[in-house]
Amino acid sequence: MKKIFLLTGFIALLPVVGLAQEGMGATDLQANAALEPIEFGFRYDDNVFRSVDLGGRLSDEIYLVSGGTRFSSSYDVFKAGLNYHLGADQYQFYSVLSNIKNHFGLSLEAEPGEFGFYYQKEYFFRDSQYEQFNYWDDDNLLGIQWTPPGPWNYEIKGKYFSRQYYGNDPTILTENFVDQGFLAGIGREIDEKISLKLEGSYNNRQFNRWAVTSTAPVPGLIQTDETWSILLNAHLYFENILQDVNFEQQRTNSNSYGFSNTVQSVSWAAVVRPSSLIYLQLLFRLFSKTYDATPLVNSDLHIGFVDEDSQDLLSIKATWDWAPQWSASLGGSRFRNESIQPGQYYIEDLLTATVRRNF
Amino acid sequence: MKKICAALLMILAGLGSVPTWSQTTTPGPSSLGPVLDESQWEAAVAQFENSVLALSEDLGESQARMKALQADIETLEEKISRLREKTKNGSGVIDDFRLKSLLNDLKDKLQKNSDLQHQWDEKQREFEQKAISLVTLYNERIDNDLQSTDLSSKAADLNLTFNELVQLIQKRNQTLGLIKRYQKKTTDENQLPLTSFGGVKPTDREGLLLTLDLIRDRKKALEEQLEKWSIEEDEAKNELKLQGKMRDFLEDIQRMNEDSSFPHSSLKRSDLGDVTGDKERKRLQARLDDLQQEIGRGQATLIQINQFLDKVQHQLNDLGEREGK
Repeated sequence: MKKIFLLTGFIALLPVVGLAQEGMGATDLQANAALEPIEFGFRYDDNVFRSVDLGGRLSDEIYLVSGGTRFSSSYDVFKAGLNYHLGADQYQFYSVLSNIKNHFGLSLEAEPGEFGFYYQKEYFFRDSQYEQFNYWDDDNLLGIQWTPPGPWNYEIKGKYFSRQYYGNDPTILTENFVDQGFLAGIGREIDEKISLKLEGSYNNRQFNRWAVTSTAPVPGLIQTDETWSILLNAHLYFENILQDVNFEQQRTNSNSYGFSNTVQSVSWAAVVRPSSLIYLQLLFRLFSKTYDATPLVNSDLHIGFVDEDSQDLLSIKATWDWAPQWSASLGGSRFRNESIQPGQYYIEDLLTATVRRNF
Repeated sequence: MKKICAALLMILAGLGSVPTWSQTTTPGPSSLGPVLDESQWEAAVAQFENSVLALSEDLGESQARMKALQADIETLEEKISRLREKTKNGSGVIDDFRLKSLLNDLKDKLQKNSDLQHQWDEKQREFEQKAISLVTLYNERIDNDLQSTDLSSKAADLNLTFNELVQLIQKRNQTLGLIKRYQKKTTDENQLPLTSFGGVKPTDREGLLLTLDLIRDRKKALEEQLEKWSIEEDEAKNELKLQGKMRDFLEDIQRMNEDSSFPHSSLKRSDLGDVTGDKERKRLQARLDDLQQEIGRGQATLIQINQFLDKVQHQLNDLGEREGK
């Protein structure tokens, strides 16, 4: 059923491209359809099963391909967008990990004067024999932006996000969750080279499982994690180097034993253009996570859902735009992530080589 | 006594050479208010003298700095044009890097030059006002002394008056010399609009040469401005391109996170995708559009200037031929 739905969605977008190429659009109604860049290449992963044990690391070579279409239209102050993106990973030795990623996006916007209202909906389906890669995400964002004349700008947005795994194993199903949150942000352009942003957010995450005490589950009480975050972002452009710096502090309070924690993280990303056709992109992130109490060591009780805040990362990528529509990239990344096993971390190294065709 | 009378006559004659603008454009401080007594006059003159001296020293230093900077700019422009010539048929990474570095240096220096020029203009305005006021003070004092001097008084008194007058005239002439030295050139930001050159129809060689100089100065200033805009345009394009690459890179990280089964997206999207990033992109795009328009207009003006130059040069050649006959 899932596959039929995906195929229907994909086919539904194809005529749009055809129409656009014939030049649709009226005097007031602007419409445009285009292909998203197609990317193909190769990835080497030295720890495909994310083993925390150095001796248990299994490596694989993965072929990857991705591409998509997008359709956008505007009428007066209204804009709408529809896009589809398909990605596939083919593992050479551990084919159980091979997967197909489908991403559908819809956006509706209205920009009357200084205000901008938008709604974005995204579905992300991932199909794989490996249970951890077999799920779908439903992401909804509703936001308002206010950009008055002058250096200040403001934004608030609300979110509803859910993840559901397709597997039947009760262990994997306990990882299903629903997020509801909001974010308020304020930005200021200091000058043409520097802009700063301060964001505060709240997130309520409900897992598909009972909360636990230090000794046993509490039937009827759903595990709920409430997270407050504050983030300071600086966006800099100096000496032909574009930089993005983030400082973040998070506090999570959970009604389940061993899940409450505090996270501090800092990240720095930069892009530099050493020659007219070559770009170097760098990113590192460091984090520190402190649990209020030692999490329970029980295979049925996960430490909670880990995300990008629980990750030390070093990534470097070089891109060569060798022709107007073509570019080639070579990248290397090392990250150290929190494992779903309490108190354990795994390290993963990735080497990626891709070719991209823009349209 | 004869000597004194002759000197007084010379002073009177000297007064006639005081430029008329000093009496008409900026009225002297004493002519606006009540007549100053001796101590007030001395205090006012001392204050103006100190200011004029300090400002003239500042102007001198600024001029020297601007001259040095101009030499640096010319050297850089020469290096850039040599490098551009060299890389006309394709460039390597190192040449690109070097060219970018030279263009950045040039941009900084042009900016510095422009800042210095603005500072110089402000100081020059202040200096000119104060110097003219000082000259007016001297003139009025000379006038008063001459009117109040009793030629039948003792020779010693007359000598005193004479010495004072000579000193005043020397100071006045020195101040006039400084005004002339730091007089504003006609090639600054208040230059004549280009269309005004069309109306210039000098018939003598001197007039034509002057017009030619004016147009050449204007051409040089415009070429410098075009170079500056061109560098800014490259920079805006570069920043836009880098923003695109940053977005791609962060999307890569997002995809990499998917392979660790992280959420596909969350509240923390790419920082460049939110309102701040959008505003920045729009600002850059608007800046780029403005620059491209400015460059277009500047290039059109440059073509007109070149046409005027040819026209004036042609007139000058004709005049030379007529004079030769």
